[in-house]
Amino acid sequence: MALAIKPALSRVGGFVSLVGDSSRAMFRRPFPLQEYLEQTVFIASVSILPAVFVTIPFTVVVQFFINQLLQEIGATDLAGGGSGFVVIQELGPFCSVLVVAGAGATAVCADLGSRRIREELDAMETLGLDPMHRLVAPRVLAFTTVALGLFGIVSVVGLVGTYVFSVVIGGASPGLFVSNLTLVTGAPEFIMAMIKTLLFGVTAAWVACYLGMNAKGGPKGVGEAVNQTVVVTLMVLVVINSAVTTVYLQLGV
Amino acid sequence: MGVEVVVEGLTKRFGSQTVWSDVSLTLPAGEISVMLGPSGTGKSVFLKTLIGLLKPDAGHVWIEGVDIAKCSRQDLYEIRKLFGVLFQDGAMFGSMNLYDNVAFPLREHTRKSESEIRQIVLERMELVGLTGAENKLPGEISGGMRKRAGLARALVLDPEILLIDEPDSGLDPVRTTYINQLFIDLNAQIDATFLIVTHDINTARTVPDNIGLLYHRHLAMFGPREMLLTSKEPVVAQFLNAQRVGPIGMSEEKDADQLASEEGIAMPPLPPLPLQIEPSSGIPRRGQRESGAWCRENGVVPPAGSFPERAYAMSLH
Amino acid sequence: MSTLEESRREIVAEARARQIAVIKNIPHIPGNVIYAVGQHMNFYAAALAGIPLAVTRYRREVVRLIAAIAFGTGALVLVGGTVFVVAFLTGFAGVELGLQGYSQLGNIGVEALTGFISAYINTRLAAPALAGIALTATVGAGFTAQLGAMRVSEEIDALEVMSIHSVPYLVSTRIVAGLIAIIPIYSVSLLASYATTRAVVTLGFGQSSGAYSHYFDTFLIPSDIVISFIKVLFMAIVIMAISCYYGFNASGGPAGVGRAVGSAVRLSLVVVLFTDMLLSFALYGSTDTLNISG
Ligand SMILES: Nc1ncnc2c1ncn2[C@@H]1O[C@H](COP(=O)(O)OP(=O)(O)O)[C@@H](O)[C@H]1O
Ligand SMILES: [Mg+2]
Repeated sequence: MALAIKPALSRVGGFVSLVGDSSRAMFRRPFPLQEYLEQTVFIASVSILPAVFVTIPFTVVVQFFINQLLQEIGATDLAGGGSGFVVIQELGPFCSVLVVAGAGATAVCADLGSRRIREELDAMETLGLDPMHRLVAPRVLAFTTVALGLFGIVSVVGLVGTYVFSVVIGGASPGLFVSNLTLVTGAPEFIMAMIKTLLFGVTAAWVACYLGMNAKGGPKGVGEAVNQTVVVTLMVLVVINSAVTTVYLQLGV
Repeated sequence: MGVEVVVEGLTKRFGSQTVWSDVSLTLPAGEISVMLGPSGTGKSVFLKTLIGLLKPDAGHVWIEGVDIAKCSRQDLYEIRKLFGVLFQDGAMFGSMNLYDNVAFPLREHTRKSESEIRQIVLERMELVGLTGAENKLPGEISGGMRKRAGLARALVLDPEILLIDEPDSGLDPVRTTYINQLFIDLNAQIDATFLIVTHDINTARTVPDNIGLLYHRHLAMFGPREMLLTSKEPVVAQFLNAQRVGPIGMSEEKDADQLASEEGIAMPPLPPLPLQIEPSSGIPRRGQRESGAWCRENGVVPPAGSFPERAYAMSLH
Repeated sequence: MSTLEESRREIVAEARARQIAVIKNIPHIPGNVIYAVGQHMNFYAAALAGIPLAVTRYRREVVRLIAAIAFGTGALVLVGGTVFVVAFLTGFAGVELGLQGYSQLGNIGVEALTGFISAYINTRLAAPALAGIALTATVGAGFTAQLGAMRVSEEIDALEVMSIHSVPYLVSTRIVAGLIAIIPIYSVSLLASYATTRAVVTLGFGQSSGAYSHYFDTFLIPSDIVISFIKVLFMAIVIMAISCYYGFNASGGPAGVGRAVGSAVRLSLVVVLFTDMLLSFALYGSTDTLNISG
């Protein structure tokens, strides 16, 4: 046990110093704009399709149960309120996270991991280029950008999906559905969801970069690093999710 | 003991890329053959085609009357039991220690008791010099050790045919000499047919009975060691003597300009032929021929200073 | 400096060539998709056909894998093994459900029903969905990483050469072992989701545990729980099949293994959630066992 704790602590230490170094590097000139744009396009390209196809079944199935539930308590017309709540507050951020962790973070970790194994990172440092500045900082920003974009996509897809499911298929009243959308979901909830998404994006980026850059041991090592990335990001993200919800409920806005 | 492998008109493509075409050769039973070639010419692909891991686009591989290229999966699994294969990095199973790795084929394919298995495994591990490393995991040992462990595993079912992919890549020259000696001794002991894939010229010059050279998407030549070592064919002479002059360039083939500029330059004279490595027991292998025999029979005069030890022995008399 | 400039230009040219290749490839996409679907189907058929061999000849491997799956190997040991990760995620889903359920029900004045929400939503929706996602990340990604590493280091070729049927030995055994290991893993996870919702509502919001238990116990329906397990087992099969496919067919060295894990996770997430949706429609579509309004 003690043997397991020590490496775990040194990993946490390594992660914290990566967070610090890359945050500082973000403000260093010249900002690696090219890398940022390329990574944004790259992460978006691996994330958008999965985002759409993860959101559709997820929101529909949630709406399915919420509708059943509302039926049980005799409030079918609240479906719109349920939808707004589910999509914006919970599933919107959660689906974008899922995809940022499952698609974006895995891709970035695999990329950095194989650069580590091919000794490209060592070569960079030998050339006097700081990987924190050149690689990590632009990726963190790229992740944030993509996460926010995905949140938008996911929200639209989710609302349309639940609308189709509840109104077109389920026969709820369209007018009530739309007017109830904002019943429990207003500007504060929207802002909370954005904050969740932002935090998710940044964290996923740091975890992916940290684990990728510390991969070792050939093919097995890279595979394991990517595996760990999904697991760790998901775990961190659900914690953030609940933490932000708690804070929001405490504020009582 | 030892099984002949007959390859006829073998062709392999990946999509539109032809790796090599129309390769025909016979690996004589019980003899050691080496397949040489620049990196990327498809030596590993050739080896994997022989064992049926890759299907050729044309041609046959005959082993004991079965065509590996066309036979059913069931026949393939049956015929593979004649083979031992050593992959480039040993391909040891990462989840098992060396002992279990070496014992694996015995446990899967025989009904031997654990104590019999133990005896065989320890014997093979000793043969490759790994006594004491039984409990190590493949991830914990050096590349050279992994290769030797892979060799022990390949030997455990007493194969009739041994295929070996680049035993010398990543090994230092001393270790390479040791492992080459090991192949000779093994061949003397088990009489299997050996095919060693390599691009190490020293191995090719001193170990085999036969040499083949893959180059430019075809088999440039295949035959007895002394035939290739004394060949004046430019590609063969250039590769076997590691020279810069000749048709092989940095990027596989030289362009026309470069070849033209070399036109006037004669190929340098062939260096002396080395002796073939002998079994350390001193008892000749079944497929072994006396150094210089091929040259004598075919009226080829080897370069001066060839077969140094014999020359030394003769000068004593 | 000029070499740096040159290499940069080379990289740009390379990137442009890649873009052109992508565009040129567009007309081939439908054909490629059909081909890929065929490849997947062949593989899954072989994996299913190998199950008898796996449970007879390769039983020892199955036993080894069960332990490895439950407690995790390599990467997962550091974060506590599959059981812990899956229970952690479903547990936090329970937390979120407790937080949001209590306050949303509070909005319409029926927060007393949170116990019912836990029995209903955790069992039917939250725990299975989160378990599916968690299994993708743990078991699924783990399989892809293991098999991918074996593929690129030629271990799968080595098996084949030793006349071992590699699909039954590596893939079918994993599917069998996974299905067995899933039962305890999901039991713990489902309990975790119940426990955390209860903790949030009773300890966090201070609802009396008697009131909570009353609604929870009344609406915890055995058949719901059985269906919940069935959903998770189906999702597990889908995840394991997809993950093994990508691992088994990985190529291109360490980078290839990393890419394979990413592809497997992406496809698994999508397919798992569709599976969840369709199974929910099929299995819960007509249930009218609850009758709270009446
Ligand atoms: N599975 C494969 N798919 C596509 N191309 C391959 C595959 N395996 C090998 N090749 C290609 O075949 C050629 C020969 O490779 P190889 O046999 O590994 O060469 P070597 O002689 O160095 O062992 C290379 O160009 C390689 O890219
Ligand atoms: Mg090779």
